[in-house]
Amino acid sequence: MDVRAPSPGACRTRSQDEVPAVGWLCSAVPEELLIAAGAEPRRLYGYEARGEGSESLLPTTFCAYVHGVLQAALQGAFASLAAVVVVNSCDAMRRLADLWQRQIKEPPVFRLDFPFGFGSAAEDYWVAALKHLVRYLEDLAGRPIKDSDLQGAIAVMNETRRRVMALDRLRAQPLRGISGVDYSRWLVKAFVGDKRRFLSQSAPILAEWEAAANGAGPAPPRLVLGGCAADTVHLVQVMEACGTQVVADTLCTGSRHFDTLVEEWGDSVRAVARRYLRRAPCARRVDGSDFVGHLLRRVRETRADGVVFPTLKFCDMVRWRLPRLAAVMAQEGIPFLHVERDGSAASWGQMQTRIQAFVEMIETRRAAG
Amino acid sequence: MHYRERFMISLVARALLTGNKLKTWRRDSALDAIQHETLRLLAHWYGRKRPKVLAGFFFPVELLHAHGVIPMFGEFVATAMAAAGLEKNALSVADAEGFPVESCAFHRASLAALLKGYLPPLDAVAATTHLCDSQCKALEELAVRLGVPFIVLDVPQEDTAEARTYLVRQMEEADGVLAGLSGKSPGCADWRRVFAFSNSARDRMLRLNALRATAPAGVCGKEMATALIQSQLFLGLEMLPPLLERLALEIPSTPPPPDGGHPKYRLVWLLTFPYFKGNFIPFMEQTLGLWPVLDELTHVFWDPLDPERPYESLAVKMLQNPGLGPVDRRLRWWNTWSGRQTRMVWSIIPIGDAAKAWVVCGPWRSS
Repeated sequence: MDVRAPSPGACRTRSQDEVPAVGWLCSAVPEELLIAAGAEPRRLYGYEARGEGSESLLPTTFCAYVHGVLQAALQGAFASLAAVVVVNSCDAMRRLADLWQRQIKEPPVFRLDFPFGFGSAAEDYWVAALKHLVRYLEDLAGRPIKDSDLQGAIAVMNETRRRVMALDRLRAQPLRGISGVDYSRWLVKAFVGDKRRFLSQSAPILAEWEAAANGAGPAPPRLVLGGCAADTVHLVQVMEACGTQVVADTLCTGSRHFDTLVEEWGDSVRAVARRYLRRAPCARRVDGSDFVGHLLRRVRETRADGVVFPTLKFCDMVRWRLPRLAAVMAQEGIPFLHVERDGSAASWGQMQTRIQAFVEMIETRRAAG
Repeated sequence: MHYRERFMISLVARALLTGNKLKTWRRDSALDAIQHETLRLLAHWYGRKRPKVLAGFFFPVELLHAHGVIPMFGEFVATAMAAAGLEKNALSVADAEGFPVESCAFHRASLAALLKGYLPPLDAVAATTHLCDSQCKALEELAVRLGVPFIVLDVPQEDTAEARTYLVRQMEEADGVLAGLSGKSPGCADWRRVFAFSNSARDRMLRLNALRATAPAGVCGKEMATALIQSQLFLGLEMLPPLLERLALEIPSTPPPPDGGHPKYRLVWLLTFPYFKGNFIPFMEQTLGLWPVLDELTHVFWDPLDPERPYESLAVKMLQNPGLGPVDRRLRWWNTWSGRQTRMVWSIIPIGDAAKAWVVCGPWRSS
C-alpha cells in the first residue's frame, strides 16, 4: 500500500507564466484573500513523516504533520512558493513558523493570528488580522487588492464549496455515484490545485454521477470519518478497503474546509472573517460542544452506522476533546472507534486491523437488529 | 459523589497548613511565610465563605482579587497533590478516561483532581489561550464537567492596538460573569487598592530579582523561585508586599553554603520546576552545585498597572509576556536581560523536549 508522504516534488516548480502559489497549512487561512491577490492557494497537504532533519530541529513530541511539513521544507519542496501562511493553531504550528523563519527562510512565512473565541470582539479582531494579511499579500503581489478582486475570489470559493457539498451529498447516498476515495481525491484537487480548473473538470462528471446515484443496492457499513488533520485519501482508502463506505467526514482536510458559504454582500473582508469564525469549529476553538455536535449532526444526516476517529499522536488539541466525544457517542448508541496513529507506515496496518474488527462489530450489531 | 475524597483533600490542605505553621514557628523566614500564605489560601478555597475560582497560572489574578473571589491556580492544585503524594493515582484516572498522556502533568493533574473529587465546589473556572494549549483545554473540560461558567481570555500573539481592544472587551465580559458571582462590579476605589498592592509587589519583585541576580550561588535556588511563583497568586493583595520586603532583607544576610568541593554554577531556569517527590533539583543544587538563581516565570516583564485604565493595563500586562509570539522575541529578551543582569558567561542550547524551552546557563563570575 502506498502510504508515504508525498515526495518533495509534489509541489510543482513554477514556470514563468504560472501565477505565484502561496502555501497554507491550517483551514482557517482564507483562500479568498490569496486568490484576490492573484495567487494560487496551495495547501501543504498530506505531509506526514518524520525525518532526521525535522527531528534534529523539532521535539519528537510534535505531531507527524508538522514534522512532515518541516522535513519537506528542508528538502526544498516548497521553494517554488511565493510565501507560506501559518496560523497560530497550536504550539507545534507556532514553533514550525519559528523554525521556518530561522532555517527555511525562503519562501517567507506569514503568521496569521486566528482567534480561539467567538462573538463580536473576536470578529473585530479577526477582521483586523485579515487586513494585516491583505496588506502583506498586496506587498507580495505588488498591487492593491480591490474589492472587486475579493468579490470575484469569494464567488470562486463559494462555487468550489457548492461543488464539494454536491459531491459530499453524492457520496452519502445509499447507491453512491462516487466512492469515498474518489471524493477525497477530488478534494485534494480543490486543496492543492487551481480552483477554476477543479470547477471545470468536476462539472461534467458531477452530472454523470448524479444520474448514477439512484436506486438501492447492498449496504455495507456506512461510516463517518473524524479526527485530526490528515491525508484523507489514504485514510479513506484504508477504511473502504475494509468493506465500508465513508459517507461523511468532519476533517479540516476534508469536507469541513468547504462547509459554509461567505455572504456575497456587504463588507467583503468582514464577510470572509465571519465565514471562518462561524463555520463548524475545530477542536482548537473554545467551546468544544459544537465540535462534538457537528460530528453528531453528520452521523444523523447521513444515517451512518458508526464513527472512526483517527488522531495523530501528540495532537493535544483533539485529544483533550476525545473523552467527551466518546462519552456522547456512547450515550447516543453510536459505535465509535478511536485509533491513534503516529504517522509511520506501520500505523496504517494497525489501523486496518482495528477497522476490520470494528466492521465486524457493526455487522453483528446490524444482524442482531 | 466524591464526598469522602473532597473531605480528605480538605483535610490534607489543612494538615499541610498546620505542618507549615509549626515549621514557620520554628524558622520564621519570609520563604516559610509565603508558603504558609499559599496553604492558607488553599484551605480557604475549601471553605464556604466566598466564591471560588480555579484559574490558569497566566490569568490576570488582579481581576479576580478586585472581585473579592478566592482564586487558586490549577497548577498549584497539581503541586499540592504532588506534595501530598496523591498525584500518581489521580493521573492514572485521567489517563484511563482517555485524556492525552503526553500533555503536561500539571493540567492533567488539575483535571484528575476533579475526577477524583479533590476539588471543592467551584463557582467558575478561568483560563487564557496564550503560552500553554493544554491549560485552556483542560480547564474548559473541567468547567463543562462542573457545569460552571468558563471565563476565557483569548490572548493574541502580538501587542497591537487591535489586540488590546480585543482583550479589553473580553475582560469587560469576564467582569460581568464575575460580578454575577461576587454580587458587585469593582469600582475605582477597588482598582486603586488592588493595583496599588500589585504594583508595590512588582517593585519588590524587581528588587528581589536584582538581588538574586548578584547573590552567590547557593543563596537563592528553587526554593526562592517557588516562593516568587506562589506570590503570583497574591498579586493585588495587601499581604504580599511586606512579605516580599522581608524576603529582600533575608537574601543579603543568607550565607552561601560551604563549598563541598564542587564549583557553584548559577542557572537561569526556563519554564517550571518539577515538584514531584524525589525530583532531581536537590541533587542538582547540592551535589552538582548548579543553582537556578533566576527564572522565567517570576521575571517582571510588565509595566506598573494603571487604575485609571484597569482592563487595558491588564491587557498590556498579558501582551508584554516575552513568551508570546515568535520565539525570537523570547530569545532577544533573554539575550538582553540575562546577560546584562547576571553577568553570566552563558550559552543557549536548544533542547529537544519542547521547542519553547531553551536552556540558558553558565558559570557565575564575581564582578
